[in-house]
Order: sequence, then structure tokens, then C-alpha cells
Amino acid sequence: MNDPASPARNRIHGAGGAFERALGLPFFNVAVAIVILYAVFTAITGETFNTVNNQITIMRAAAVFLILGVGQTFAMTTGGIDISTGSMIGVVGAIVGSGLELGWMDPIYAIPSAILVGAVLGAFNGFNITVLGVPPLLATLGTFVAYRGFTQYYMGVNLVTGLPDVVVAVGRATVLGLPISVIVALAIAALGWFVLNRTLYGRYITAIGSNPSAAEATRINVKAITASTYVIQGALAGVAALVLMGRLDSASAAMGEGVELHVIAAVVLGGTYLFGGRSTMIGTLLGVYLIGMLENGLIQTGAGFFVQRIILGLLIIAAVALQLQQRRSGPG
Amino acid sequence: MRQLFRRLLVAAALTTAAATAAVAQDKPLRIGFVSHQHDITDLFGQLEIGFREALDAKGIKYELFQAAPTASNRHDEMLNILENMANLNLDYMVFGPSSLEQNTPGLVTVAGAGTKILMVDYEPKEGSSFPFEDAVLNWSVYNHGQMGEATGRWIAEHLKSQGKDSADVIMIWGPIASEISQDRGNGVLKGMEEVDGFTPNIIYDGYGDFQREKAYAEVERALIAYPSVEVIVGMNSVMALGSMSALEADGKLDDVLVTGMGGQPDELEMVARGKIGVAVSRDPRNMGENTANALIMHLEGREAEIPRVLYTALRTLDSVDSIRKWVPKAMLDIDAKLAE
Repeated sequence: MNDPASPARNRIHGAGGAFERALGLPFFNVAVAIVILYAVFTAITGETFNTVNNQITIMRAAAVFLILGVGQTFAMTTGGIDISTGSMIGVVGAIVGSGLELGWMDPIYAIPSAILVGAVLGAFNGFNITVLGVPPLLATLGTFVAYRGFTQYYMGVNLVTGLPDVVVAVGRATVLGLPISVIVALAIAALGWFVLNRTLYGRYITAIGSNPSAAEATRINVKAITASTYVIQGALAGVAALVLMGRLDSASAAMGEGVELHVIAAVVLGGTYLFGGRSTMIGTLLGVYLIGMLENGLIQTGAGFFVQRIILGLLIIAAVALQLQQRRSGPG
Repeated sequence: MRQLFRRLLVAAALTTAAATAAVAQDKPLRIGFVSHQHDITDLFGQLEIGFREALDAKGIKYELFQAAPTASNRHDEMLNILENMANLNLDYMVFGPSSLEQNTPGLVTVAGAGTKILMVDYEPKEGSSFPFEDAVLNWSVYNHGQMGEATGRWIAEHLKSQGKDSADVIMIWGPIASEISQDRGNGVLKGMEEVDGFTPNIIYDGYGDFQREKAYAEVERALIAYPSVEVIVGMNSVMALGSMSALEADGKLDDVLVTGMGGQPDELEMVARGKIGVAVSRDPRNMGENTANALIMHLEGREAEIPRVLYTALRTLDSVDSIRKWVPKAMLDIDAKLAE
């Protein structure tokens, strides 16, 4: 491809090659969508959308979804899915929240307890999927219902309020103007990216999603690794529960309801394959941001909340359709 | 893929050009309208109509930014909405919560942005104070507990008039931890117990989250488990309608008394048709008008004259005559409805 006689032509080819490489990135579509929508919302609203404060607001609202999205990316890369994340948040909120309110849990144990409770809930999902052989969608559908039922039974009509400062700080405090919840979410996303892309464990996860039989043949412990992704998801649900409790300074039986669809939509929009084998943590980050930007921007343009739901639904369909087309066309 | 990318770029350029051209140069009032649910036929939809009509009558120019969460119990979504509203440089925001406690962090953010708040449908408890209070111009409300009590009293007196001194009752509550639902439901219990010689027997508590479909599902299940039920109390209009539909589907509407609360037009039509026993009602358009008047008084520099809490009257509607008398025709022409 390189022509020693024509540096200019080589530069053009090089530039074209870089562009083609960009087109092949799994998160290219969502990145383009973000650029376009950002321009549109800025043009329409100008002074209110394109401000640092507003962007921080978007990221603060998106923090919970990003934390959950990292865990969902792990699960989906193995070819699975977890729709019990919202219900897991409810259980963590119920146990940790009531423990703090009633005084049998010291505030310093709030964070590790939330992570531990979440991990146990995730481990139960992992057990059902890998040991009992229940398909992930059905296994987590079962816990979606059961965990929520437990939360409603445990908490009833009670509302936990007046949480300790350490929990409220997780949801509301800022460092140099940036919310701690956003810093935590970005750190988790960075760690998730590193694990998936730079470790053997991450490569095993991708191999399992690409071809479980081949992965097993190469002596990868498919069941253990698959189960571990649900433990990770559960632990991150625990962190997300803390952030949510901190933001609301409360915990109730309805906490976390409905978040799972938002998270799955963000991960799929970001470019992670719904059917496993390909993941992009950067795409998950962008997908979460895109949805948050849509919700924020549509309110600011005066569009009704129903319009938001229609657009989000259509985006999900488009994202999955593009994924399927790319799979048919081959890698890259 | 390259072609698709080129097409996207062209589309974006055209959209941006059109949008830029459409941006208005006037500076009307910027008003947010946020409620825990939004249905054109129900409280907030009708309240918005009354609000807009009052502002339009005064010739006030405004832009209305509307939002509601996907469900009344999605307090995390509501918090996100309020934080977004705080970035909109709003002059005013009308706000109807299902739980004030869980929405306080969001309201503090809105107040911090300098927006004046007009609270609707949520009565502040006497002696209570809130960190965002200075931003609140007015509370346009009714007492949910009194609404419940009126319903409970009606149920007890109605059954006593039929010679019954007790009844098996199913309560269909709104979202768990919703103060509105708790106030109404506890009011119903109090109202029933206050009537001499009547003893309610609560056989089941279901949760419909203020949603018609959920109430339908709850009642459908409850009818199998509790066939002795005589009364079903829905804590809002749409849950009463859902309960009514479930009874109709099961062929038990003639055997079980359904009561609602709120006075949404569909609910009142069913009261007129005898399918729902009673709906204790408030006039949402009047509430909207009260809210608009508070805003107008603030614009005119008369903030000190704005009443802090303005109650709208509650009416017990259990017949065509009572509906005809108390419900504005603009909201519901009951005679025309019954003639359909």
C-alpha cells in the first residue's frame, strides 16, 4: 500500500486507513450518535445544554447505570444476561439501609457490606446458571422477582431515612467539583476495561462468549469463570445501591425498580454483543452517556417524556440490527 | 457503512440548520411542570389545563417543560428529572410528588438554582419544615387523609343502610412508602371505624402502585384467594377502574362494592353508571388555577399576599346528580357521556 514515490498519497491512504479502522470500532456508531445529538441539543438549547454544570448533571445521573453497566458487560460477554440488577439493589438497600437505621451495622461497614451482600446475590445467580443449568435470562428473571419480593416483604411500607454521612457522601459529595459517584463509576469502568482487555481472565471471558465448546476444549474453566461474572455483577449492584441510597438519602422497597432495562440498553447501544463474544467497556461508557444525554436533552428541548421512550426504544432496535449485520459481514 | 456515515452527517447538518432557524428570540417565562405521573384525564393532566388557562387568560407568555418518571415509585428517575430541571434556568416549577421525603434532595437542587416552586397535590404536615421551603411560593392541595375518611365513612354508612354491620374489605394501596397512599388508606380505615355500629374486616392489602394494570392484576388474584370480599377500596381513580374491570371480568361487579378516590373523568362516568360506588373528588382545574394565581401574584410583586397553603374542596360524588352539581362541564359533561 505504501508508495515510496508519493508521500502525499501515503498520507491519504494512511488517513483513510485510520478512518476505516475507526469505522470498525465496536463503539463507532454510538460515538457518532453522541456527536450528532450533542450538536443538535446545543443548537436548540444553547445556553442550558452545553454547560459544565449540565454535563456534570448528566454524568451524576448516569453514574449508577455505568456501575451496573460494567457488570452487565462482563455477564453479556460470556453470552449471558442479568435482569435482576434492579432487584439486587433493592435487597442491598433493604439490608444495609435498615441495618444502618436500626443501629446494628456500624457505618464503616456499610460499603464492604453492600458489596458482600451484592456478591452473594450474584453468586446465587451464577450457581443457578452454571450448576443448575438454567438459562441466564430465566435464572435472573426468577431472581428479579424473588429478590424484589424479599425486599417488599422485609421493608413493607417503611422508608429508611437519615443515613450516615459516609453513605450520603458516596451519592452526593464532590471532589474538585466532580461528584464522587462519577469518580467511582469511572474508576470501576477503567478497572473493568483493564480486566477485560489486558488480563488472561478477560480473554477467557471473551473466549467463552465466542465459543463455549472451544473454550472448554482449551481447558478454560467455563463454569467457574461464567459464575464469577455474575458475582462481579452482584458486587457492583451493591456499589450502585450505595450510590443510589446516598443520592436519595433513603432506601425503600421500590429502590432500583426498572434500572435493568436502562442498563441493558446502554450496554447494547455501546456495542457489546447481545449474544456474547465481543465487548467494549468504552462503548458501555458511551452508551450510558448517550441515554443520559438523551433524557436530559429532550427535557430541555421541551419534548414530552413519551418521545424519549420512543426514541430510546428505536435506538435499541437500531443498535441490535447493526450488530447483527456486522456479525453477518464478519469480524471488524 | 461509509455511505451510512455520510448520510448521517448530512442529516445532522440539515437538522442543526433547521433547529437553529427555529430558535425563538423572545424570552417568555420558563416554567417546569413535573409530576409523579401524567395522564391527560387524571389529576395532573387536568391541573395543567387549569394552570395554562389561567396564565393564558392573563396574557402571560411562557414555555412549559414537562417531565414525569415512568412510574410513581421511580424516585431515582424523579431525582434525575429534578436535577435536569435545575439546569434549565427555570423561573418557576410546578411539582406534584408521590413522596416528599424521597424527593427532598432534588427539590433542594431546584431551589438552589433560584427557581420558585409551586407545590401541588401534597399537603405539608403542620409544623413541618423543609430545606427548600424558602423557594416554595404556595401549596395547592387537599387533605388526602380527609379524602380517605370521607370514603371510609361513606362505605360504612352505605353498608349500614343495607343492614350490614361489618364487611370483608380489600385495600388496594398505591406505591409502598408513598405518603399520599398511606394518608388516604389510613383515612379510609379511620372513617369506617368512626361510624357507630360498623366494623370493617380487612382481609387483604394489595399494592397497585397507582396503576390500573397492577390493580387489575392484584384484584384478579385476590378474588381467587378471598372470595368472601364485599368491598374493594382503590386509593386512586385508575386503581378503582382497574379493580372494577377485574370484577367485571370475573362476573362479580354486582356482588362487590368498588370505591375510588380522585374523581378522574372515567372514574366518575363509572360512578354515574353505578359500577363504582363513590369517588371523593377534588377539582384539579381549580387547583391548577390556584397555582397559576400564586405565580401571577409573585410576578406582580405581591408575594407576601400569596396564601401558603390553599385547599381545594373535596366532594363526595356517588350519583349522577352529585356529579352534575359539582364537576365542571368543561372537565366532564356527564349527561353527554351517559348518552353515548
